[in-house]
Amino acid sequence: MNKKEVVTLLSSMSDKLYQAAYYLLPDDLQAEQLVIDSINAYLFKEKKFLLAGVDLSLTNQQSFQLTRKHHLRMVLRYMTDIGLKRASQLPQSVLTSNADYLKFYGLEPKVRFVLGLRLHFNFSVEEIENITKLPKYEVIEKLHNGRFLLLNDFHLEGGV
Amino acid sequence: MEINHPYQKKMTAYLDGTLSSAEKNEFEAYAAMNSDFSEVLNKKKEEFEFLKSIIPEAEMSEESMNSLKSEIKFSVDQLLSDEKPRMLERVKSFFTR
Repeated sequence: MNKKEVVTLLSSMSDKLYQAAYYLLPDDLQAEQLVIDSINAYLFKEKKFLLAGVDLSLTNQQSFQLTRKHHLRMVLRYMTDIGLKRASQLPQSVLTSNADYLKFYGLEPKVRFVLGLRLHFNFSVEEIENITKLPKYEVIEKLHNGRFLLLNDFHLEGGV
Repeated sequence: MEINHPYQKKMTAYLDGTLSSAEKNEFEAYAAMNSDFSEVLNKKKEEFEFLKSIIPEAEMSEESMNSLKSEIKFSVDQLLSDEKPRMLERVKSFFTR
């Protein structure tokens, strides 16, 4: 993969990365910065791996999607490390400023991240285990706890 | 009314996509044959939809998206700047000199 292809690859996933960053940092600028920092960490650490990667000009659409998903997971691994630290230091005022999602941002950062990856990104538990480096039982526990806390509202509103 | 089904405990795992393909097939076959179980499953799916709706889906403005892409290009230019020819190309160029 050459530099141009790396730019194409990473740019094609920027909206997804921003989405994941926003689970941790509900602030446009901070989420954007987290995306950049995660990409920088990835480029710095995995430079050889990236440049030795498959030539994108020779791949079809399906292979490109698979390659993209693989690299997305890799960048998300770096985002987990950097983002969780920042999220834990975030002032409460930033978390409560997003009135539409108060309940979600009331959860601890790891739970938010795991829930988002599962419910919006449709990553499997094994993939989330790989991204977050959490043991499988902890991923499952965070999914259960997060769901339980969020679903209180659903039951109060007359859901199941 | 609470009905105990043999596959009840696997419902969340099914919705989470953590069942093996054989277990998934068995689960779906059981749901297809038991309408009350299928009803509970549909309600559980509704819960999942509700959950999705209370998790933010952040969208970037076009301006922010363009700025982010420029930053990505800048990062790639900076961090991959000392790109060296790969080993095979270096060996090849040595013999073709």
